[in-house]
Amino acid sequence: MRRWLASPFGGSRAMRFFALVRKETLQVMRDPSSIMIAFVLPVILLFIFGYGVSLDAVSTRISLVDENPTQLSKDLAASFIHSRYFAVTVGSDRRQFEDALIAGRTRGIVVIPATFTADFAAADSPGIQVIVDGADTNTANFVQNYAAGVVNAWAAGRRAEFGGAAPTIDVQQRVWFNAALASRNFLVPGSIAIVMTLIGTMLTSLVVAREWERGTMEAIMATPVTAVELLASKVLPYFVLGMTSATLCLALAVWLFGVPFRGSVGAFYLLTASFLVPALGLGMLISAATKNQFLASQAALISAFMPSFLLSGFLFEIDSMPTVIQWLTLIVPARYLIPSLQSVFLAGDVWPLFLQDIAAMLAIGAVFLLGAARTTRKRIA
Amino acid sequence: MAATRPRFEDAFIDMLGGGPGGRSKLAEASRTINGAGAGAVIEAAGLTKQFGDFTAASGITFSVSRGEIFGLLGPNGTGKSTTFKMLCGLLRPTTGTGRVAGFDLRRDGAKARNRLGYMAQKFSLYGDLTALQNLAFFAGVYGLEGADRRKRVALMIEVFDLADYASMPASQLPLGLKQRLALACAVMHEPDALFLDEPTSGVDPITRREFWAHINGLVGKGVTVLVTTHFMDEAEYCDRISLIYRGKSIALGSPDELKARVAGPANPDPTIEDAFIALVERSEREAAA
Repeated sequence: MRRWLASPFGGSRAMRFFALVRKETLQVMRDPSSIMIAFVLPVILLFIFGYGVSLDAVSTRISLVDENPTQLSKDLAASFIHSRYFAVTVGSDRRQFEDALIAGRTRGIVVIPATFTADFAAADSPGIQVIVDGADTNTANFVQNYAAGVVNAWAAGRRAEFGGAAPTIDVQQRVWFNAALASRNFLVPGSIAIVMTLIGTMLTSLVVAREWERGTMEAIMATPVTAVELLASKVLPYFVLGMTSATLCLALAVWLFGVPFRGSVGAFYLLTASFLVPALGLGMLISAATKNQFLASQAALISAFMPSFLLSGFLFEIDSMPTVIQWLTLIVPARYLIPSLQSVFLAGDVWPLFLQDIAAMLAIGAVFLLGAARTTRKRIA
Repeated sequence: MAATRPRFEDAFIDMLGGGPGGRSKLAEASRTINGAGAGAVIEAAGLTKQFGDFTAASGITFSVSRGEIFGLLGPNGTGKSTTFKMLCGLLRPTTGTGRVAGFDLRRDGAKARNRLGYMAQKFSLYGDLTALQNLAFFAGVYGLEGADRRKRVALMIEVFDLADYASMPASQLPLGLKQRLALACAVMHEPDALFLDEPTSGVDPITRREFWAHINGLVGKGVTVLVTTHFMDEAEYCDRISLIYRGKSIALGSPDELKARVAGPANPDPTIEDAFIALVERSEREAAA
């Protein structure tokens, strides 16, 4: 049979797919933005979360007002000054710090009232006042709780010293998995999910839209290429790009930031690969539905990037979100990657957790990919 | 065939040293498609496309036999492109069927598309890839492999004089070369039917002549061509023309037949442009009546 009459199925289908993948790969390599997002952005993000952003309670600036300095109040003030959690500025009148609190230069004002020494002697319940800026609730809570902690510890020490009843229960805290309580150790694994979202969804959301915008989709549609082949040929190179970038992230996390890695490399790759399925699926779905790069990037930002940041447990604890929002997080793929990834780094291989998360990610991915194939086919019609 | 009156373009080309003389290396190197009389290669049967309430094309019916050049002529936005796109698989008709090389575009879309070559009006190759990469891509997409593919790509480069530009990104090619490259990609797989959407708009007269030399050469080998154009002189190159106006085919016939229809005492020797205008006006009057 003459070659050109060969059926479009079988051998020539493989040929066709190979040509599509090759073309897509060439385009990825020629596009500086994909290389930036895959290899430069992860470095920047990991640096930000590794060094810049810290959710740790270290050296919060507060002001301390000792209205009536006595031996006792000075002793308490010293406890604050020596606390590693606070950087203290001392004064004698709370009014001198009001402006600083409003401007955010100080995070709270601890007032040891004039009656403090007398109260302590009389009722054994030293009252101090903590003024915080409620606009920043996190910091406000933090300052309140730590200030109370400092006072209680100090009070307990005093009582023991004066022969009073020593605290009967001595609470010894022990933190598992992240003994240093360094937020970097869980932020760095989390930011890998952000990088994967960028590659999987942001980059790919643009590629089909780009074909529509540049008119190349017409040329493709007039060839025997099918919608599924076209999508698959776009998914493949970005999957490889994502896995390469994940490797870079892993290397930086372990060797540069010294994040412990207690699980197995196999589990790490399996989790990352599973996450790329829904990430790429969503990118393809957006791309097929929008036909326009600007719209596609906005849609990717709102449907993938923001949820990966806010609804995944990366920065905010899912358990402390309103119930409705908690339900919403169930369809955010990053929510399943982040806990597992944090475990791979900090705890080790926890297969029951991993398998559950992998199943969830693949299920969401299947829905997105099917949707993308349907939408593309419809668009071609 | 009687000698025609030279037009301004002919004089222009003559002064530039003449065109390529109507020879097409492409056609010479192409296979001959046999099986003349094996039925229509391109068939439109009652093609209708509705976008919501708007009917872009309605009941378009014609068939193009092997080795024929069929032109779709009409003002912009009257259904010419819609009809064209339904026949090369870019639009799905609301009702009616389109066939290419005997394959129903709806049922056997991939098979039909494997037998047609399409050249879009707008440049639709990959601007970020080189000319050579574009050629290799389309060869692959049409399932050419190995030695076949290399031979075919090399032939395209030779025939269309692309050797000096092979490693240049397609977006940077001059317009004439872009069009050549687009034609090369469209005929890469030796299609039975060639779909050309305004192939020569914006192209210089020499390239345009060269273009038609290739098309005529391919037609000589049995390739069937469907072309849209708004160049009236280009319409003369067609064997038959369908005049599309307001979503309907208002006249179908050879350029001479169409001209004869409007010839009268006032204008005994109308040009195709005269015919076009007269037929559109006639259709307007009929619609008003």
